[in-house]
Amino acid sequence: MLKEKKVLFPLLFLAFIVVVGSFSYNFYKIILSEGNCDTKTRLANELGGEIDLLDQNNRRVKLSNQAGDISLIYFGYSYCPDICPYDLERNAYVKDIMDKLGKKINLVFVTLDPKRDTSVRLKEFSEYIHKDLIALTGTEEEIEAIKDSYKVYGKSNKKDLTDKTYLVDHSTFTYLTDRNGKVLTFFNRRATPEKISEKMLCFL
Amino acid sequence: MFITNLKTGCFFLLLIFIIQISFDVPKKSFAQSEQLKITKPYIKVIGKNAKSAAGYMVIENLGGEKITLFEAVGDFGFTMLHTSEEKDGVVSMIHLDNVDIEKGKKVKFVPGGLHIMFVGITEDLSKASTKNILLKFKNSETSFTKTISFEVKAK
Repeated sequence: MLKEKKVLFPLLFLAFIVVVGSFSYNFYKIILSEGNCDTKTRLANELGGEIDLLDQNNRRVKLSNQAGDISLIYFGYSYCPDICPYDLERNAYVKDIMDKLGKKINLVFVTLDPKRDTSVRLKEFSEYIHKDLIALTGTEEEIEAIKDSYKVYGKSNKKDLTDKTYLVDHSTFTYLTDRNGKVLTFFNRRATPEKISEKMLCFL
Repeated sequence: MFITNLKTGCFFLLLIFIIQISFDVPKKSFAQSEQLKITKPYIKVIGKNAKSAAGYMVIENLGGEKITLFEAVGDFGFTMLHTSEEKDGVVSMIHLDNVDIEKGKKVKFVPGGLHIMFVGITEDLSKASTKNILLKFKNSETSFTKTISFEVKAK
């Protein structure tokens, strides 16, 4: 009995070391893989494309002509009171982080509500969000085409659009794209500015 | 212990009793609106001439029964009680007729959740520092109102 105990304890201790060791190794690997720039995180399917719309200064702008090589694009509407401002403020914070690092990126907002979001309205809106925000609007057909290429969902919650108080249900993903608008990856609402910045640096 | 004899012991018991009573009595005689504690009221306004905005606050029910918020009124546009709901990355706003605050509980109106939705805003709220909002509540017996000064946050 005593002899068995003598063997059992070192064995149990060894098993404990192995379990804890392998667990921490795997855990470490997961943390490491989240931090690195695994190219597998690039989207396999083709999403996105060139954006050619009117900005808040009523000028026609193309995504491919902007100063930054990559863009952080959010789709929403300026009348959105509770969701869009916070998502856009987070993206604006990412822009500030990139500015500090000396990296040029484009901070872009595309309206899903072109009826109400005129250039004039977008100018007031963009002044609040960030001085470098590129806020874009267009005809309903143009916006529909972009929604389709980025697979964005946006739909008014009222059938009667003469009622000016309608809201728009919409997807809240933020897309990271290259110069031509090809989507590299995307983020949900819960992604922190730090996480987005880290991922962004992989593509710069 | 410094309570060495019966006399001091009794004195302390009496003292504790009096303290308890003095805290208890006003609680029971609270007016209905006093049963609600509203903290951190603010309206987030996005830019000049914004036509919509969202109001947030924390409501705490200190009373002994459930209280329901059923309306909010401002003098600068229409208001509605809303909650934002996210499903598969799509956010929708759900209109609520009532927001219940159970006894002893707190209900938080926060970004991405419950909020007072202001639409059809008729003035430039970015120029205001505060705005009064009339909140209408009811319990099992009666309805009552509370006017709260909301801080306007427009940067």
